[in-house]
Amino acid sequence: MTAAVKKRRRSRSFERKLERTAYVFIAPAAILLIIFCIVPMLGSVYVSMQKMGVDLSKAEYVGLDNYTKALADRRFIQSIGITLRYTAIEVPLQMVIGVVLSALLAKNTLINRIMRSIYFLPVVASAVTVGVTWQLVMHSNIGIFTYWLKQLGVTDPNWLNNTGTALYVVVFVAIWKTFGISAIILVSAIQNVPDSLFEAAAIDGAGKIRQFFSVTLPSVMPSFWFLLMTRIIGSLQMFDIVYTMTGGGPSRSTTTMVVYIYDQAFNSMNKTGYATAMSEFLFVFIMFITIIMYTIMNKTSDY
Amino acid sequence: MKKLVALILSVAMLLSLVSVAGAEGGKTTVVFWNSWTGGDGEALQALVDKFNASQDEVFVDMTRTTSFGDMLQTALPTNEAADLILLNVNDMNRYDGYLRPLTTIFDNTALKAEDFSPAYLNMAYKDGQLYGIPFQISTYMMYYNKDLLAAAGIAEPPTTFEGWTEAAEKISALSTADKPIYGSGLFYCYNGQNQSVIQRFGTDYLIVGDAENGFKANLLGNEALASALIWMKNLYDNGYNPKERDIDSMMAAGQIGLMTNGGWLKGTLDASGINYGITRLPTAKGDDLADWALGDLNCFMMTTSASDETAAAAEKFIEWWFTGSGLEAQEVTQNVDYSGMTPNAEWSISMCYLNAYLPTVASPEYQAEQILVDLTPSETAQVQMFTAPGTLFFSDAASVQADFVENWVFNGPANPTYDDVQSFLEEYQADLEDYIAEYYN
Amino acid sequence: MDTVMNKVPAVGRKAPLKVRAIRLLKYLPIFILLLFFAFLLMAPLIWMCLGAFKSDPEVLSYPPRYFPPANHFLENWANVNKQIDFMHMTFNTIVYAVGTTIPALFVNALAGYAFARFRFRGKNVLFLLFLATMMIPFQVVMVPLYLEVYYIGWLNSFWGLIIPKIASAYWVFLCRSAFEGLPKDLEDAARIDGLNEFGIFVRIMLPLVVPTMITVTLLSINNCWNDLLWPMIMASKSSMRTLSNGLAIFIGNRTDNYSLAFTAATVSMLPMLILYIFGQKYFVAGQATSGIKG
Repeated sequence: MTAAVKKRRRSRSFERKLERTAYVFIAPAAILLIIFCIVPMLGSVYVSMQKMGVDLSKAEYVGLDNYTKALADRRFIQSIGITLRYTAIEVPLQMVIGVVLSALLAKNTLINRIMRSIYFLPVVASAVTVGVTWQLVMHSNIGIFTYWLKQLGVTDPNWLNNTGTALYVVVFVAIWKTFGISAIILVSAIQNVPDSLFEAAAIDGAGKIRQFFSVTLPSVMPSFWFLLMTRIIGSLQMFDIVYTMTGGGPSRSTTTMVVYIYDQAFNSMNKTGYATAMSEFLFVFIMFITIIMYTIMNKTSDY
Repeated sequence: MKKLVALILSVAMLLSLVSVAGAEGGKTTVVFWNSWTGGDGEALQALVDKFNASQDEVFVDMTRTTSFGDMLQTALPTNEAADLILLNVNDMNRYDGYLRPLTTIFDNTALKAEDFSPAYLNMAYKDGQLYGIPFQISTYMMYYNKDLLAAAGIAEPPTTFEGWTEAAEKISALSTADKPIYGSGLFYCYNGQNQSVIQRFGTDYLIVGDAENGFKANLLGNEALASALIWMKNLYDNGYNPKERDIDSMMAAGQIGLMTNGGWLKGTLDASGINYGITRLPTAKGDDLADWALGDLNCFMMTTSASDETAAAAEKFIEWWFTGSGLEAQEVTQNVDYSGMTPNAEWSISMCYLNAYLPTVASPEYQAEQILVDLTPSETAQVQMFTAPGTLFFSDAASVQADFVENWVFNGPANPTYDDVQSFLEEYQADLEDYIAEYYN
Repeated sequence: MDTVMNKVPAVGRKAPLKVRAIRLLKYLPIFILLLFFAFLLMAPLIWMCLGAFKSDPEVLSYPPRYFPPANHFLENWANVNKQIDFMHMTFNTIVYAVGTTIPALFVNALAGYAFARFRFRGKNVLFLLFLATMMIPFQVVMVPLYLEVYYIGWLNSFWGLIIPKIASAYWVFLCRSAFEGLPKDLEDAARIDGLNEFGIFVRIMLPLVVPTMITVTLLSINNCWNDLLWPMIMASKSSMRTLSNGLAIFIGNRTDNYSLAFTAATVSMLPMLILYIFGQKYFVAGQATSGIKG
């Protein structure tokens, strides 16, 4: 039905006018982002080539030394591995749970609305609160969850303090904290779909399942891509829950890249430049993944 | 659209209405940042409030925050940081160039340099200038649960680490399915606690030497350190010590027999209602080792963000801290009347922090606290925890220690020998040597 | 759009009692499952809320004590207020959250719309540049950003707190996804009707994505509500303190006073929860005005 529209040739001047409009629309956000994000980022590139601590005036230019140093730092390499493992577990789980739940909860029935409110609760709680609460709930000896697990016959439910399991607890809590966001975004995307589309499909004779694949899914795809990409970016930058719940331990088993970077920047002396250099690696890595995903996303979307 | 514009306008108006003016007009405001959150911060807040109410020249605007380091590091270069801060004396080098000398405080106020214990005050001098006034000495002590000790048939808290292990074994035997009990409560990931024990085994600093003759990592071949590590590991392997990051809560829940901690735990334990005692930490052989300081020195320091006016006002606050009058009984949580004491004495005695201010030390109330008297080091004592004085990378060394202790206890070989410790520590010795090379090259 | 009406009675029409009973029975297992998940999810938060009514030793007692023998809430609450100026902090937080969210909605939706519905040169590069702003940890750009705000002269003011937070690649991306999901012939029809581009955006497109706009509002307010580091460094004066930083005072490095922390956290969550339940209503209201139904 849209074929005719698609093929219609627009006049050149009209295209130009649209282009100008687009720039005007983007301008406010772009200007703010350039001033308050891009400029500080460029500043950080400068910092990454300095050996410096708190005092900017005592900075000493060291070129790429900080970068080569990072590659030889076994703790940094270890933190990369932990971050990748975290992301590889968290993102797929988060997406599956988000999609299934939002499909179940999209309709505006009373029960669904109550459920959605409940599932959104962890989002509302601040990261500090969440970290402390979970630390207490999972506490090896006074935690209520470990108490229940012991009652259920689990022999060593000290998951938060065992090197092998602590990261999974962090994954669980992170999903618990954020899947409400995934659900609400997907639910609102499903609700954005105009009914006329379903009716048109129904008139064409499509059943419920066909409607899901031909109408719901394509309309929700952009939001799905959005979630996937932002979750990956967010997971690679995992910080707050780790910091408040495990502090990176036990035995560094939950020290993600940003936790390590933060520790170097703020708890160690003259490492601000070094910490920044490590975060540039993180930046390049995230950029690389994003460009790949962006290309795939653009191929699957028409605009 | 109109609604949106109206909303934006009303928000803008709201923004301009909100005044950011100082809380008290006419007073000089001293901005005071520190990281004293949690239990002891409450008492600090009450004391600062008391100071603000006691006079009408100076207003101390205190911010207690876990983001203390971030805030300071960000704000110092623009001179927008606090005028007054509380800082670990080891961090003085870190903020080099941004600290304002306090040397004139002895001319401007009634405070006298000779009233401070020289061992501590000297740590705050750099290039002939004084940068800090001792605020508290965060001493580590042994906390013990009197009821658990009695139930296990132990009359006196142990004075040796062997005794610690024996007591821990007996106390751990009290454990039931419903209520697990551990005789010993070491965190292992908590470098301050680890170090307080490691020191009492008689080790030297983790980094020895000085800036002139060079520094040296002191892990390999360090017999006392090896004994400490073997002792810690055996405690854990035998099940006398839990694998847990938050042992304070267990202590408060009555599940821990013995632990090492600082005065900041006291408030929590008082509130918990458990029957506990505090005494000096054991030593390896039970002999004195009094000259080992078991804690860090924290100082009042001023930053370059302070103007002459705010600096003078901050000096008044510091003067009050040592010579003013403390809280009434109903104002403090522990329901003891400290009103006859100075804030400094009250802080130190109620929280069990060693004091560097000699008039306080000489006061009968201070002398009545046996633990404080016991802990007071001699005038020639070494008063550092992790590394030799002047080491620039003290925090890096401290975090390496937490790394190897935790890793060793949880993942090291069972029934370890001295040689096991040596081969385990090789990697960490190399880490420390890398740091030395990096900072002193 | 009249056909919408034909679908509505399906909900309102009463099926025979037996059919309804069977339908209910069929749904029951799913309902129980959802309820079970909901309980698991809620457990730590219920534990937290119960903690607000306990004294500290009761929070830590083991085996766990579910309900406190006496209500300690008022005592805890008084203690919280002794240490922090809760009301003033709430006020600051509201100004920060509302002041950020309202312009953010407008600015980011506009940009997201342009990325979704227009074809223009440099679109991909520009969008990737937008995304790039999400890719570096905040802790790293914090110092340069602070210096910038300092030079502008906005430290310790709501301007400095709010304006750098308005534009966000995250919201631009989210809005872009919402607008992309809409059918393509909508704006062409509007153009034929003679609406200008801004008019199309405000009158036709924006009403169609009301659920997403509500989502942005809720999440943006929530982000500000829980934001820790930014307000702390940007507005370090205690008169500018926000709620999340007030809460952090109760959570020390080693010694946690759980009952106070839980009391403050529980109370500070309430406004957000009310807002969410309120916002959910608009999920439906938004559809009613735009003639769309879920």
